[in-house]
Order: sequence, then structure tokens, then C-alpha cells
Amino acid sequence: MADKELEDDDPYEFVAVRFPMEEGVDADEVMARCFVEEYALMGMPPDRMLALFRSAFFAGTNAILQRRGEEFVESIIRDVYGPAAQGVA
Amino acid sequence: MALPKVYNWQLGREMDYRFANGPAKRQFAAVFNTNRCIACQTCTMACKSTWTFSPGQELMWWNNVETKPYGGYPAHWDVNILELQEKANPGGQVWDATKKDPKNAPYGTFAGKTIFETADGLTNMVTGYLPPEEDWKAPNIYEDTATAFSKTGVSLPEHAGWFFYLQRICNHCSYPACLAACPRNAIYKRAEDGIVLIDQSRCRGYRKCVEACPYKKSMYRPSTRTSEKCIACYPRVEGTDPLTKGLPMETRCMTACIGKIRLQGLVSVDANGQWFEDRQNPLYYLVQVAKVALPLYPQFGTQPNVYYIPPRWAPRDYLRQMFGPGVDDAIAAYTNPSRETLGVLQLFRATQKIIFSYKIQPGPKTGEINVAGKVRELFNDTVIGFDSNGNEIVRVTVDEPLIERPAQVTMNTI
Repeated sequence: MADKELEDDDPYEFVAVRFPMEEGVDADEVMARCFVEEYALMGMPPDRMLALFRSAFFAGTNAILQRRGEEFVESIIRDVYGPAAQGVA
Repeated sequence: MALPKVYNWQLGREMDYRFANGPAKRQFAAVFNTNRCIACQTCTMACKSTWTFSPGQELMWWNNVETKPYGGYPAHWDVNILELQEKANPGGQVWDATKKDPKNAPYGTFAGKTIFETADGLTNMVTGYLPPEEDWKAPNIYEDTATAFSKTGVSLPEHAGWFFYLQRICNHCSYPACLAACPRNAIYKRAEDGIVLIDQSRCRGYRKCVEACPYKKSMYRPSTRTSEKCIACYPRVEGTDPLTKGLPMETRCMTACIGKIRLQGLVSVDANGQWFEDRQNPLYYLVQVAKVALPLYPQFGTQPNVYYIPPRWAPRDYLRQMFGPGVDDAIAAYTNPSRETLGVLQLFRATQKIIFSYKIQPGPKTGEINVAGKVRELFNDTVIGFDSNGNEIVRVTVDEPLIERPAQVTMNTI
């Protein structure tokens, strides 16, 4: 179904419908930034943050790392933590 | 017959309702932070195992967590009622966000019609619909789950766009649609805490409440031929549960939340359901001062009392439809929260007892981070919560304690 439009006589239910993202919005970046900022505000150190993305036990964060690579995640961590992330990410 | 006029502060205007305002002292209210929910359904099971485990209640989930934009229990409940309202008032269901008043119209003024105003007031007091049995059967099926078993394995849908989870209980509305629709006057709202209950001895199962509740939180039980709904765990809220020795306690779904996304309490209200100023009540602070938490579909007109901190990553037009025009300000206030907001957020699920007031003790600066493109300082403040007698019941810090499980864990060693 991923590449076909739904038709009126389609007998199937929708499954796992996602939000349509606006043109030019990087959904992964929005979400990754949300994860990092949420935890940073509660005092999580930057090295732990990277571990959160690396661990397969955390499906949401790990999916971003798998899809976009470690450098993508590190750049967001660096951006949020600033100098505190030096040598960590 | 002209219906009484009541004031709905969430809509910023008067509206028609079947009954004039009665006496009110306190209102059951809660704030849910959608940004931190992982849809573990612990709340759902806490409620189920407490209240709806008996014959005839199999399809009854007073608390449920659904995946948006697709999910719903009963299926498509919100799309269905929005569609009915749009059909009744085509193109008119809009807000005028310019007509704001901090107390009487904090989100602007709703220029459309409520579910009470689109009904004819004669044969129907409320616009609604009765969901078919099929819609109640599987609260989460088809959301983000696999739908079939395959011997060769399946590939689950990948979340390239992101969902969010919507936690739902009865809103214990100030103007309950269920109450307005009941032909037996079997539903009542308690003055002492605003909890809405169905008198089981009066109910004859006409299901008008099921039809009328826009949130579909009144449910029919075939084994008793009556309708039932969330009772807000009223023995706990009253403080009659032995656990807290007379102190008001949060409901089961709130206290079971492992993600610490829920905070519930009681707020002081006038007859309109408008909140009296109570600056140090954490709910008052989040809803009326910081304005980070918003009512769910306020345009329905029932003045619901569960408030949501909207998810910051979901498309704004979708969220504006769901939570009203206050969404952009709420997300801005949540994304880069004030020092006080950050502290109050730590009170979520910090204790089973209801927190009636809080105090923040400033702590040391712990660092700086960039949030939403701005540099902000971090402080490890201490937040103290007090019970109904003014005694301290909880003390937490903004820095969340970090506990890491060892990489190698031996599971099930009991």
C-alpha cells in the first residue's frame, strides 16, 4: 500500500497511518531534537544521551540512529549540549 | 423552549445547556503530557484490573491510550463527531483567536456551534452517534501493530513520520453531554469534586449517554443492561481508601503511570467551572498560568477537565483542531520551559497523594544547553509538594536520578 493511493472500494483498514509531514520538514530531526532536549532538561549528561540512541532497547531513538547514522545524532547532541558535549559526541 | 445559558470559559462565550449551573466547590482535573507517553498501557491495565474485569465489561476500557492520527476507541470516534458537527454547521466550526481574555477567554472565542447547539433541543439534547459494536471490539488493532501471523516473518511498518499517543479517560466535564442526554436523569455531577457518575439504580440502559458523549466514555454493559463510565476512582479522591489515612489520593491510572506523564488533583471552581486563583496548585499553574496544557476538543462545548500538553513534533493544523488555538503558545512554553514549569513537571507521578500546592527551592546552576535555538541555563531546583493539610508529601529535584541497568541482566531469576 505504501506507494498506492487508497481507493473508495478498497476493503482494507488503514494500518499504522502516519502524519503527513510538511514539505521541507525533516521528521527525524524534529523527533531526535525532541528526545535530546527533553532528557537534557532533566539533567541527563551527553554521553548517556548517545548511549540512548545506540541501545536497541530504546526503539524510537535507536531507529533514528539506524536510519540516519551516528554522525546525524551526534550533531544534534553537539548542537543541544554545546561545549559540554566536547569529546563525547 | 429556551435552554439555560451557561458560560464556557474554554470557548470564551455563553452557550446553551440543558441545565443551569448548580453548586460547585472543587473540580477533578488532570494534566497529561503527551510528549512523554510511550503507550505502555499500564494505566489501561491498572483501570481494567480495578474496575472493569467482570462479565459484560469485556469491551469496556474506561482508560485507553490510542495512537494518533489513526487510532481510536471506539474506532474513529473523533473523526465521526467532527464530521457530524461539520455537516450541521458547514464551514462554521472556527475560532476567533483575536477575541482573548486571560480569564474568560484564554484561547479566544469559538465562533462555531457546540454539540448542544447543533442538536434540535427537542428530540435530541446533544448531537452524537451510537458506535456500532464492531467499533468497541479492538481498542488498538490496526494502529501500529502487525495484523497477521506469518510463518516466514513480517516486516513491521516503519515510523518514518511520527505518531503520538493520546491518553483518554472520562473528562468529568463541567457541562457533561452524558448528563444532558439522560432521559432518566440518572447521571449527576458531584458538587464536592465535580466527578460525574451514573446512578446504577436509576439507569435503564437507554444508551443516550453513550450516544451523546463526544469522547465516547460512557459505555453500555449488556449483562446489567445499564451504562457505566469512569468513576474517577472516587474513593481514592475522597481519601476514603485506607492507604493514605484520609488524604485525597490520585486515581489508579494516574498513579500507575511509569512514564510520569500524569498529574491529577482537585481545583477550586465557581458555578461556571471557572477556576479560582490558586497560584501554587500545580494544575492551576500548568493550565492557567503557564498555559502549557489544553483541553481536548474544546469546541465540543462540554468544558472537559483533562488537559493535555500537546506533542511538539506533530503537525500544527492537526493539533489546533484537537486542542484549539492555544496550541502554538502551549508548545512554545513547553519546548523551552520556564524554570518553574520544569520544576512542576517533576511532580508528575511523584506521589500517590494529591498535591494541593507546591514550592520551589532554587538549586545550583548545573549547565547550559541550547533549546529551540536559544541558550538556556539549567538549575537543579528542588520541588516540594504539599497535601490538603499543607503537610509536605513529596520532594524531588529537577535533575532526574539516572539509574542504568547493567548490560548483562539475567532475566526471570526469581
